[in-house]
Amino acid sequence: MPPNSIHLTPEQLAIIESPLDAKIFLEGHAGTGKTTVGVERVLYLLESGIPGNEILLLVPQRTLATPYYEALRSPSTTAGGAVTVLTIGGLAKRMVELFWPLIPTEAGFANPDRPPTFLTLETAQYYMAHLVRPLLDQGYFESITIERNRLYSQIIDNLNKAAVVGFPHTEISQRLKSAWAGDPGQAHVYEDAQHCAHLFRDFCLEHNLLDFSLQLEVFFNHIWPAPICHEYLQESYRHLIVDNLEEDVPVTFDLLRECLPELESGLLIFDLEAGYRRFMGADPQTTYNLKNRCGQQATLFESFSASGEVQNFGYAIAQALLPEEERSSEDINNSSFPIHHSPLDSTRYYPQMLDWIVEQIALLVEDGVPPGEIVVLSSYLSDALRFSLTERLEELKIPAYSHRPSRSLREEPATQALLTLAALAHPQWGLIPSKFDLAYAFIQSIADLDLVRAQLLTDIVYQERSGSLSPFDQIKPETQERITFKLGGRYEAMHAWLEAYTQAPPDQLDHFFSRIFGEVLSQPGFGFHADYDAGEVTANLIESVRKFRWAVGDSLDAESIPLGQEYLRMVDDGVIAAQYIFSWQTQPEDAVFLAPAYTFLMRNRPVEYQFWLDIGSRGWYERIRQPLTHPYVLSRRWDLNRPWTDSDEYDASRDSLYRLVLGLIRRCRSGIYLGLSELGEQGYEHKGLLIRAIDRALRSVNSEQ
Amino acid sequence: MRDNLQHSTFNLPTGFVFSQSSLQDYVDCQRRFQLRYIQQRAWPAIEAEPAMDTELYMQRGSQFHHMAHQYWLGIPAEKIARQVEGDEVLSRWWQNFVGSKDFGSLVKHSDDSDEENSRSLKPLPEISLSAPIGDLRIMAKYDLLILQTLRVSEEDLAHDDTSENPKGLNATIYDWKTSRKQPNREWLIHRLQTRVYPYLLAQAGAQLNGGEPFKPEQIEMIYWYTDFPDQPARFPYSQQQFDEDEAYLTGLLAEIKSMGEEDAPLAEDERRCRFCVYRSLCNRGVEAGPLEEAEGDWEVEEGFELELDFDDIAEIEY
Repeated sequence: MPPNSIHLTPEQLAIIESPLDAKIFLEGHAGTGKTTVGVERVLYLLESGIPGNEILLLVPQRTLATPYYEALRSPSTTAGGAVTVLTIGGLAKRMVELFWPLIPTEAGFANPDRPPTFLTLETAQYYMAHLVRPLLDQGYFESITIERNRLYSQIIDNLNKAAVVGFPHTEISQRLKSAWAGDPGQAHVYEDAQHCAHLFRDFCLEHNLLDFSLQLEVFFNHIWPAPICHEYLQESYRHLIVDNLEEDVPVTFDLLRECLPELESGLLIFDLEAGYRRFMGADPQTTYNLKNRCGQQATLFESFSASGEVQNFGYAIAQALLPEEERSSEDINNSSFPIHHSPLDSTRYYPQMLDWIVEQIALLVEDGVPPGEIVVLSSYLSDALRFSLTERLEELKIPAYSHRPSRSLREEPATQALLTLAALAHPQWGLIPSKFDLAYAFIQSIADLDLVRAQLLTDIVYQERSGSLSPFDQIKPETQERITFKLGGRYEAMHAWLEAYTQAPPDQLDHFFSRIFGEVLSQPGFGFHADYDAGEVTANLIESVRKFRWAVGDSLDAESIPLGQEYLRMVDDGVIAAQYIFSWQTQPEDAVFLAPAYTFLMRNRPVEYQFWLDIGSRGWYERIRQPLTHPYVLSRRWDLNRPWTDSDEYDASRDSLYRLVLGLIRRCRSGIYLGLSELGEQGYEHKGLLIRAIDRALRSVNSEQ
Repeated sequence: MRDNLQHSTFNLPTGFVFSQSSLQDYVDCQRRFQLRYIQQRAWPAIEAEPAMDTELYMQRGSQFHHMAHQYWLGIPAEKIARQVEGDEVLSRWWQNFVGSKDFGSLVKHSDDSDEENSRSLKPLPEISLSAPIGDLRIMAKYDLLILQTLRVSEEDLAHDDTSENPKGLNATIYDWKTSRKQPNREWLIHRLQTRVYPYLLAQAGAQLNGGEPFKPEQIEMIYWYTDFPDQPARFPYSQQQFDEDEAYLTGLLAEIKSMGEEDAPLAEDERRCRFCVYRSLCNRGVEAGPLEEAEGDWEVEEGFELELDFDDIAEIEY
């Protein structure tokens, strides 16, 4: 019996304690305790003597493995081997790394005796930019208006879609064209995108570079079929747990279909009415077919997360979102929805709505609700929104943290200071900082230096034409006094360090950042000393540069382009350091969570209270404009030659909102606060599908009363 | 909800699992342990000079671990060797590895199906084990574990009633060391790795031994040096050593649990600070020390490169 089975239902226990050779397909809505079953099943296997190293846990995204990690790291878990936790991408990368010496020639790589280089999104985007930029000058993509970086990333996305769906990348344009129902002129844009995808793939094969798409394709086409690799996986992993199968991609389905019969046991967990990662290629309809491949099927019904009232509210909105002919005639027999909304008369403007939200959070916290049980959700979390909310909450001493999937590394003050100092220390790059940038860097770098003194210092010591600095002792004594000798001493220490640096052969850029951070900026008297945020930003910048160097250093060397110069240029262009992943691990444990709705869903943790911001916004369901790609058309289920119409677009939007709303509500135990203002964040009035559905749901109840 | 999911010990991050390197950090400098593991502070100063040599040292170490892993999976040695043909150091290490008397004989026997040889070998590369100690957890990732079955007669088995010289399955822990100099034995004896690895195998290795825990006498720990292939450092394990290690580790973890919120004490030996990235935070120096003085201390693991793959960018807008 599992050690903590006291809280488990008989249905859960029956699945957990299934025979050690059972292959089970478990389905149910969010909040019905499926992941709890998954976690307990792993522990049960371990308790039953199955070595941990024979168990593979597959999840579509690492955040979804958190409950498993917590259980496996608990001291009460049986001693033994470690369970392997992977995503399909992680599995592919690991296998390509291990078995690389066996496959480069047959996989088409030009340098079979050289090791592979794995590309990150940043470095893939860099190479894509490198290849596509000259074509833009030749007129490629001229009929569309889109930021260059989004153009590059959509071409990469097309390659990724081909890999996760499992069709040849050579068919991208054919599929997109066949579904295009608009201006025929668009067709050549898809041809351009196809040509760029070809160029990129050929370049990767020529230089042993593996972006995500190529990692997957090499794994599925060359490694998985090879007997030595197949046997290795077969012998290593005898028991499989897959959670959130509905968020996984078609090639995962292919892999599981093939390997399930060879395994001793399996538990596949499927969340009904979910599938939030469609834009990443998730295909719940396809992966659901694995149900028939399992000898045992089970469904959990009882919700452990949402109260009856909350569920009824969800049901009412869901009904309102369905087309009229699909709506149920069943009565919603609860008139006390646990929802609250901002008063329209006093929240006409967006900031007023934010004030109301923060007030309500404060009241909940005063009533004893832990801040960690509150989330504030929006369709998109802009910097301005993040700042506005955290400021307001900080004033009330309510801990909060935000998690956007990424933050702009180049916008961080510490990054800007470091980049300016790098340019200053490498005059040979010809990237001379402006006086404004240098003054800003001084403020960040020298402790206690204010704007006025920074500007004064910059005006005197900086020769902008040559990009050089002069010593502090050459300044007139009265000006030295104005700046103060203490600050002047700090400036002089930094100046001397830079002088010494420029006299020696230059470091690699990441080493330069490490050195100036350790020897100057983080020393007492300087701006980063004991500043942990600056430390983290610097570490992230260094990591970004290092990966850039490892991926593109040889190519740049061949062209005699200094890597540091190219990196700074790419940062300026927004190709790299535009977005950066900050650690999931450094979250405070009891703080209000501010996040985009989908990020919250992928964290998969219910809370007591949810605040939905700006429910009039269309961002809750509308797709981002993507003129070069299409998540639905480039899916396994889309019929070739069927045009994508406005009606398809509307249905897809409504369907995604339906799933989103149900997903949120099923992760809410006690109550939902709806933030609405007459004018949205951008100052426009919105009355999107969500607010209309909520309105309809509330009116239906009111009319029953 | 399961009780143990709520478990949180003093101020360590939830789910924190100790390793030999985190324990070594604590023993070397409590403040470093606090900054690195409890507060999880990134502080990216140079660790040792020259920076590029340090990076190469780490990369080569990581690459060697990776190659050894590939070798034990059955990839032909010559195919692995081709990947590093241009790198003199790695090629030398690889030749030493493949041609090692001590180690090569094990490799040879692993393919030996001769019954008369009466033993078989099972290599387990890159395997991790973990076990609780009190209300904390400790883990180790072994570069290579070799399980060797001694086929003994039933008569021998019937008379095997002591733990002094057990017959059956022996477990040898190999740890690859890529430093340019070999530390002395006395120094190695006191490393946490020398204590944690065999101890944990005895504690958590039962599933590898047919459900029976390994007796300490069945375990041996070997540091194998890529540049000194004929001079591996061998550490046979014993019940007495196991008892001592258990008492030591239990005491050490209890001491760590008693750490308060205040800044922990700095290392007594300031020479260590030259190779610590936090030196500026502790006002313990400016420049990093030389690599050749530091490298023996460092544990190079496979996967030195920080992970960042497509899974991380799942939610970025395109």
